Amino acid sequence: MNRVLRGVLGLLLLAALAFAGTSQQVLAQAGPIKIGAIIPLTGPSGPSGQAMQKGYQLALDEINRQGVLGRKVELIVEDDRGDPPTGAAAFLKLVTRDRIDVLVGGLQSSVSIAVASQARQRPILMAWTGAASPLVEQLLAEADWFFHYHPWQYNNADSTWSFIRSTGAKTATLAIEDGPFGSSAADEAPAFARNYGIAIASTETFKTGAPDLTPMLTKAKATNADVLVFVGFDQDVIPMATQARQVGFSPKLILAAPPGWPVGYEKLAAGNYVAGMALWTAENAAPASRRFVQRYREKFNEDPTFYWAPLAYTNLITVADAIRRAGSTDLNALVAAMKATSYEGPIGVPLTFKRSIYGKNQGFTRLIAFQWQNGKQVVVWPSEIAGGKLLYPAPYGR
Amino acid sequence: MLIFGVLRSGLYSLTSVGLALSVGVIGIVNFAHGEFLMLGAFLGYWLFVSYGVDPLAAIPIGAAAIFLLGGAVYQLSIRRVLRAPELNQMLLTFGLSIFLQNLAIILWTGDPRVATVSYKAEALAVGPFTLGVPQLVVFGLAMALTIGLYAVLGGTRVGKAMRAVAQNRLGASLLGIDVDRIYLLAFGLSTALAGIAGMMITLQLSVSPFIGLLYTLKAFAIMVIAGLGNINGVIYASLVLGLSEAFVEFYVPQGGGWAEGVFFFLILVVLLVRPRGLFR
Repeated sequence: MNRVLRGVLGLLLLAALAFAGTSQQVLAQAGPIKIGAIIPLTGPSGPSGQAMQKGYQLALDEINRQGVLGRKVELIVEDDRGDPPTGAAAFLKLVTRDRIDVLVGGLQSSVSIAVASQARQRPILMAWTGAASPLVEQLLAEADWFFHYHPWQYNNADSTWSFIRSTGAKTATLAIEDGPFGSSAADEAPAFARNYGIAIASTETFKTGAPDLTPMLTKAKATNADVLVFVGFDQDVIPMATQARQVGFSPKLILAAPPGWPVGYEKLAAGNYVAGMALWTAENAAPASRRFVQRYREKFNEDPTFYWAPLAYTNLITVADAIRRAGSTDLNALVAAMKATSYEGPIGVPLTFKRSIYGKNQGFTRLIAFQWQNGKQVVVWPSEIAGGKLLYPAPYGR
Repeated sequence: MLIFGVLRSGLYSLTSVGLALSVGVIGIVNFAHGEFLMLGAFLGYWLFVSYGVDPLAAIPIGAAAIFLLGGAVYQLSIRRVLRAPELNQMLLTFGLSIFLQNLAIILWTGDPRVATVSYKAEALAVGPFTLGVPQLVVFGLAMALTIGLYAVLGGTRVGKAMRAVAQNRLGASLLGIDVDRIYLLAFGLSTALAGIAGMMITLQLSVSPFIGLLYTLKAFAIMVIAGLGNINGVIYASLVLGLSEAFVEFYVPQGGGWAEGVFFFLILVVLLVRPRGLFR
């Protein structure tokens, strides 16, 4: 009797456990779709990361108006602080504790390498906005589940030199910060310049944050090159623009490619007519871009100044759309749906994913060129999305 | 090249003389010196952006505000570690530096900001040379303030009291000098000078919470070249650093990258060859 009773109790216990498991599955299905985001909210890249967060908020508002597969989308944001170990820890937390369905975000290459190393051991749909270093591309070369939105460094270089060629310039002088950001540009420049028929007159380096660039600019002036290509960070463009005027250096064009521009740059008279390369600017004339800027202004009472905001918006919108089309959060179904992405959003260029040199799913591959004209970033290249004409030679002091 | 070197030494001198005062009189190595400079720069920026006050005109307000802040920091923290081991003092000022930098990030984000004063990119043509107007102004002001400080230290009762305290704290107190008050004054003055240097940065460059470190490092190099705590040698040491950097930038291929390493090289050479400093 005892044996029978034990048997019945055992069966009841098993049934109860099975029921509990099923109930949990049902509850999990009914709960929100969890998307994790790893972005730098603090540290030197904090402003770009904060812009991304705002882009995500706009996208999330839109997505949750209807929901996805009858469920809400929950975005769990982790601050990587621009620090690779923090980024790797954030990945583990999101995947193991929060049990996210999709990972989005990403800005710096160093953090992306740390996150990618973890992701290779625990594959998940990784819709990654940032990282321009091909090291990340090589690290995840075989990862079918890795979708990369931002152009790679060689895409950036190709766009830059293609734009310079379009101006009719024959010679360029390079001023490049000597850290990882600038040195990779310095490595790539000769080959791309040669491809586009531009002669490099000289290459000078500087330390980012250096307050006085006058000796370097004086040397650059002596080359009499058509274009100054300046690769530095946000704070470096101020001494570059002002001290170039002070030493009387007026090439036909100054082209700078900082990750962002200092607040107030638009009011700097010496900064007028400097050109820049970016994935997007707020002056982009594409209808989706105008709508994005309008909604951004309404929600945050400010203008978007970083392209990271529309890029993050694009990132989350396309992921939500892929989940809808996949009909589930199953990894294989999601990968197939992401591969079929075709989206015309605020960036102004249609987004599809194609093979790159090493990677399987590359999104954007081209930057646009703009020129500061009376406080506005006027898009001047490529011609099909240009909102104005490049002033070349730049009319400094006229 | 000579002109570039001389002009940049002005800002270096203004940054370093305050640190030399702090080391020379109080005997404390203030790692947060660059953060007081950063706060001065933000003060100059906000006064310009919010009220249109030129950073040059705002110097008295900025200097007074940073002096008071420095005094408060001294009373709340520095004073309590004056008799502690040097390592504790350094850790305290290092922590203070991180705290002030992060406070600035929270208050104003990490964005670089530019005060667009009208003469930011102006230059004067003097014969075949062109001299940047903000750099000339900063150089002139730095020289005036540094020489003024020398005059105060050499010719006033307070200055003499500071020198006495620097030479022998106990002896000075036996003579009736209020050592604690002199320390408070010296620290406040040191931070005010850093604040003025920061306001001068708003004339030339952008402002962000991260600008302090570079100037702290250069100020340390200048102090080592001058001799630790040797206020009189700061101008000469600043010239040595400014000219060395300009020389490397101008004559060494891709020298801009090397130039910022010059101060570490100079620290190394001076410590090995003449640890007391070149100008003591």
